Amino acid sequence: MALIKTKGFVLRAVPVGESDRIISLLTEAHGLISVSVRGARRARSPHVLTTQVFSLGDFELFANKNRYRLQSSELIEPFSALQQDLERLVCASHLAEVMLDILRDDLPQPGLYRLWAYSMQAISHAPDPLLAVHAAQLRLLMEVGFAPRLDSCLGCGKPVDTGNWRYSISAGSIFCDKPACGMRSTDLLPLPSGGLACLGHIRQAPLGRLFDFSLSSEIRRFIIAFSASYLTYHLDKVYTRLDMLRHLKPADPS
Amino acid sequence: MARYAPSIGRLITELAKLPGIGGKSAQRLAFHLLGQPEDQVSALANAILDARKTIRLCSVCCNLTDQDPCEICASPARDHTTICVVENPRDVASIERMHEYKGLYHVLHGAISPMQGVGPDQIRLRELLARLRQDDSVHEVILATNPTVEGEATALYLARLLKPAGILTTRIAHGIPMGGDLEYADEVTLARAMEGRREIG
Ligand SMILES: [Zn+2]
Ligand SMILES: [Zn+2]
Repeated sequence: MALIKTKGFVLRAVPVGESDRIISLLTEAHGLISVSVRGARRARSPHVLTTQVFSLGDFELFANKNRYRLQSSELIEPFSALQQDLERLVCASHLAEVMLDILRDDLPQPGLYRLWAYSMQAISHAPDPLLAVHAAQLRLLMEVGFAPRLDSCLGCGKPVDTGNWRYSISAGSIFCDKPACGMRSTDLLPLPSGGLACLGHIRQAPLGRLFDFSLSSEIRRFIIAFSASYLTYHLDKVYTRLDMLRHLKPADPS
Repeated sequence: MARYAPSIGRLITELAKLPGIGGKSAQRLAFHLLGQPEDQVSALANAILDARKTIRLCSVCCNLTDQDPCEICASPARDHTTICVVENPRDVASIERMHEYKGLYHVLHGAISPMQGVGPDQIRLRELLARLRQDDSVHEVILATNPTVEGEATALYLARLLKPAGILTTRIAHGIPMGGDLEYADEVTLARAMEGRREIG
C-alpha cells in the first residue's frame, strides 16, 4: 500500500452499490486510473463534488497494485459551465468517451492529459463547442498515431500547392488532381483549400492556441464531417453521443 | 457452478439479477427462502406479483401508483398550482417525509445524461410539458432534480423550456451540497433547500 498524491480529471463516474462511486481519473503521472470512492453519493460526503464527472481535483489515493482507493480530495475546478449548457455537456461527454477508448491502460500520457485540460476549457467556454470538440478529437487522434499525410500527394509525391486537392480517409492522405493519383481509394472527396490549412493548424498549433481559430461555415462543415469520419474509421466504432445535439431544440411548450 | 437441483439454480439466477445482489447473497437468500414455511414464501411471491400487476404510472404525475390518478394528484387538499419535479419515486417519498410541501409532483424517471446516452426524450419530460400545456392553473414549477451534473443539466434545460411559457420556475437551494443524491438528504436539509429555492433560467 502506498499513498499517492495527484491532480486528476474525472472522465467517468459510475454509481455502484448503495452510495459509492467508481471514477476513471486521468492523471499526468499515472495515466488513466480507476478509483473507488466509498459513500461518494451521500450528500455529506467530502468527495461528493470532487468525484463528479468532469471535475478537476487534487486527490490522495491509496494504491494497492493496480487498485486505487480515495483517501482525500479537494476540488480545483468543477467546470460548471458544462452543467449550464446541455450542448457543452454533450460535447464533453463525447470527448470523454473517445478519450476513454483511446486511454485503455494506466501508462502515463502527459500529452493527452494536457490536451484534455485545454479541451475542457475550450468546450466550457468557446463560442462554438461542437467545433472545439472536433478540433480536440482530431488533435487527439493525430497525437496517438493517426495523423493524416497533409504535405504532399500520396500518389506522386507532389508537394501541396494552391491547386485542387482531394483526400481519402482510408488512405490517410491527400491526393493531387491527377486522375491516376488516389485511383484506388474509393472514398476520395474534394478538399477545400481552407480545410487543409485548418487541419494543419490542428496538427501543429501549440495547445494554448489550438482552439484559437474561426472558420467559414463551409470549412466548418468540412472539418466536422472529416473529423467524424476520421474517428469512426480509425477507432472502428460508431459514436452516438453527439447525435443528441439534434434533439436539443425541442418545440415550444406553450 | 455448484450442483444444485435445477429449480434451485433457477431461483439463484433470478435473485442474482436484483440490484446489489451478487452470486453469494443470491445463494444465501435462496436457501433462506427454501427454509421458510410454504405460506410465507407464497406471501412474498404474491406480494411481488400483486405489486407488479397493480402498480403503474399515474397518468398525471408519472409517479408509481395503484390508483389513477394517484392519491396525491387526486387530493383536493394539495396545492394544485405548484409542481415539484423530481428524478424518481424515491425522491417523492423523501420530500413527503418532511411533511412541509403541499403541492403536486412530476416524476421524470431519470435525468438527462449525455454520459449515459440518456437524452430529453428518454425521460418523462414530454409528459410534463403536455401537462403544463393542458393545465394553466400551474403557477410554479420547482425543479428538485438531484444536485449532480445530470440533475443540474436537466433542471437548466427544463427551466429554459418553461421560461417562454411564462411559468415561474425555481430550483431548490444548494442546502443540499452539489453532487449528492436527494435521497440521502435529511429532512432538515431538504426543508431548507425547498424554502431557499430561487428562480432560475
Ligand atoms: Zn499526385
Ligand atoms: Zn399523480
